[in-house]
Amino acid sequence: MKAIADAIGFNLVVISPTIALVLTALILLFFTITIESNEKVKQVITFSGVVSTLFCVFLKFGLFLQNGVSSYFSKKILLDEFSLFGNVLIGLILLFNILPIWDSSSQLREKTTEAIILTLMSTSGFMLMVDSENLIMLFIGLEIGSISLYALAGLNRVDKLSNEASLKYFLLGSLASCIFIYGVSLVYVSFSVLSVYDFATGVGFVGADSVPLTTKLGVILTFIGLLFKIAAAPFQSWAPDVYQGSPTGYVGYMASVAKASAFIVIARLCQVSLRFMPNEFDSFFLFVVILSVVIGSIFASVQDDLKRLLAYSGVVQSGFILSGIVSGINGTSASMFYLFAYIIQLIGIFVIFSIINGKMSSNFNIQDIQGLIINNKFLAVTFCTFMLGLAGIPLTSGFVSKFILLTNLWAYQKYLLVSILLLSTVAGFYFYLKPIWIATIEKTETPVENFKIKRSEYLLISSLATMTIFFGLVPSSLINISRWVVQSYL
Amino acid sequence: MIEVTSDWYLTLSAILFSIGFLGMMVRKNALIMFMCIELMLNAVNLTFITASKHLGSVDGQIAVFFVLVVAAAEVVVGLAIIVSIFKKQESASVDMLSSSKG
Repeated sequence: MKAIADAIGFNLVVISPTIALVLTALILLFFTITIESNEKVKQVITFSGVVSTLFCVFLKFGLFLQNGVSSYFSKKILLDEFSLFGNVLIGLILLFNILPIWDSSSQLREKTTEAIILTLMSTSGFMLMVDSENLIMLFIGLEIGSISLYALAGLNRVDKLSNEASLKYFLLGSLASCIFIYGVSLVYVSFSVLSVYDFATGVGFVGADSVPLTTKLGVILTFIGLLFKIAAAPFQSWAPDVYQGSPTGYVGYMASVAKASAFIVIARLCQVSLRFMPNEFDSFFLFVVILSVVIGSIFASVQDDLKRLLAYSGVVQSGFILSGIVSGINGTSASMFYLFAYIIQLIGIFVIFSIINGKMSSNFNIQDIQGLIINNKFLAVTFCTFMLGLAGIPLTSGFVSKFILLTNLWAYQKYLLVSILLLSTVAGFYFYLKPIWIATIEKTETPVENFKIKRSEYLLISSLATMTIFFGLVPSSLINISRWVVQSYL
Repeated sequence: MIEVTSDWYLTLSAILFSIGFLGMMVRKNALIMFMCIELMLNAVNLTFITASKHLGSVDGQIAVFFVLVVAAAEVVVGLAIIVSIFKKQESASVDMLSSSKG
């Protein structure tokens, strides 16, 4: 029995974060539907579940130090730097978001734990997704994660916008999944591989020039499915509606987790599977990157709803991150830095939004933050920090990430791309500074009232803001981490 | 007598997928769009089965099981979402879902 287990690479440690999350969700479900238990018990269970997940990620580091880059479960699960980075990132996203999600859900009364269970399940799916070596495994992880997110978007059933967001997210997300899995099936038909590494081996074997056209089409379709999840143009149409309609307390999680995991998977596919097919898909990716930054910048400038503005800004940021990933190994390292910095700012800004806008409401007009600084000094200052970080002002992590990314692209001699990205950064100053202007400088008769902030929310927001400033002043630690992520593929 | 080769099945699945994709683009009823998604997933299944038979490997057949399970899970969540919308507005047309735009 043990010989078989060793032969197929049976190792529970490597999927322990997923197991911990699913177990926590199941225990929570059990407590919710059978025993009348109070909030305190459920809170303890959730918190211990999140902490044990992070501990399991820590255990995976031990396994990695012991075995190095290795695959398990007969080449289904992969343990490499990308998967460890993804696990840490998704674990942190869960840790930072569990508090706003809990507070938002407690307004739903009888459905409090519903959202938490969905969150834990979707996190487990995305953890599986970044760990996967096999494309079918990737698909399952993606779907476990996404299906929970569709339900999460429509949890506020009395709000028409929430229903609408949920249906739009569901229909377009499922379409993306169909396109993704059709691409995988085309690769399988023409190339007879389903594994990330086997694809590279196969290309190395037949030579990049004699790869069949069907395989190339399949790869393109696979990438389109993933680009949908990161909301890169021209596949961005769902993002603004979903961000606007979904309950504000959940949007930070929904936006960050799908983006983080899809980007890590795209990075691994580009660096591992496509490494022997140089310049094959360059024009396609260049088209997506340029369209993303242009469309995102134009539409973000004309938005009146802050959540829609953040959605279009997300399209621009996706273009930035993608430009690094597709240009080479150093660019990928820069993109991983960018991704981390962006995710921190995104979560922070949505925590602030959920306090100002109310946890379960959908619309958030830009005038709702008029004169924020008069009664809410702390919120206004942190809001400005995150917004300036997204815009890329010096002393924030946003500036460092943009700087590293653009210098790397310059080193790859992509001058046209660098100039377009610089122009979009300048355009970005307009739509990122507009909310700051309205919140702090613009004169108003009726400033927004003072919001009650819990101590835990103080801690959360200030630690996220500190990280934004810290990685802007002392970026070397994060740069070293992002170098380490790509070191096996140098 | 014409021999039916793997190519026929692959062409059929490509046509089915295209029909589903076109349906998603042009139809306005949420339920019909939902059926189009199912059609596309089943076209994928046909591709996997054909490839599996053609290549003589089991991977494709196993993939079909997983795709089927995912499709079933999507039915559950998708129908719940459509029903909760239907309760509010008496019709499952996506034309009426235009509150958020811009």
